[in-house]
Amino acid sequence: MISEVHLDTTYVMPFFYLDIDVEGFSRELYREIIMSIKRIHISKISIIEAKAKSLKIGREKKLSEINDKFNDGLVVLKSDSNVNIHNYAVEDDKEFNEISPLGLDFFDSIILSQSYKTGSLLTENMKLLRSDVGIDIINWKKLVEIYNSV
Amino acid sequence: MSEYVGKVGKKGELYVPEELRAEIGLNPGDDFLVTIGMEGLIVKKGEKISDLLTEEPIAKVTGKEMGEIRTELEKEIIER
Repeated sequence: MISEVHLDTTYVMPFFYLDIDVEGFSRELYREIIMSIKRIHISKISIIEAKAKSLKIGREKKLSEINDKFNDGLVVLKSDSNVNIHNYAVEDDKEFNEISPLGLDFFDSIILSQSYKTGSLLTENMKLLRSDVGIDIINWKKLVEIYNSV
Repeated sequence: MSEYVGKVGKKGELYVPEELRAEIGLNPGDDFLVTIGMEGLIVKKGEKISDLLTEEPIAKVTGKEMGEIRTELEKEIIER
């Protein structure tokens, strides 16, 4: 049973009505799992990254619809008391400096540094999944396994 | 548009009138969102992020697209 988890940007996208390319992922199952977790942590930079991605998609599809849906999702993210959106804090910066030898990109470095407080991170990033960084780094497959084992 | 008069308690609690709670479906223990707008405060029933997942997505982002956009963004932030 997972009581709290930090989501990387991939897993923030579905809250903005954007589907993700993860094997076996379903919104229904994700919903069930999210409902079972007491506290969800998200980095503010993931929201900014998701916004940039939605704007890029909007160039090819209906931008106004994508913008409206993004805003709807943001209102809910901000109002859900089970969701903690992380600003960049002093401790995060210390963690950021400590993990710099891992050679992660800028976004992953911030998200990982902020996930230390929670102790678990949901991601599909292979580099992170293969790293031993002192916290539980899990992917969708592992998350489903944990959920089904309860 | 409906208007209601609430009260602020001694410890700063906001008392929401029963009629307003009934109108927006606010029950004990529910979260609510207060937004400061041009015309004052707007009170909305707090939704849960799981509610967002009941609706169909409007587009799909591939792993390749995610990587490309991130590279572009990183370049823009660092070189700015």
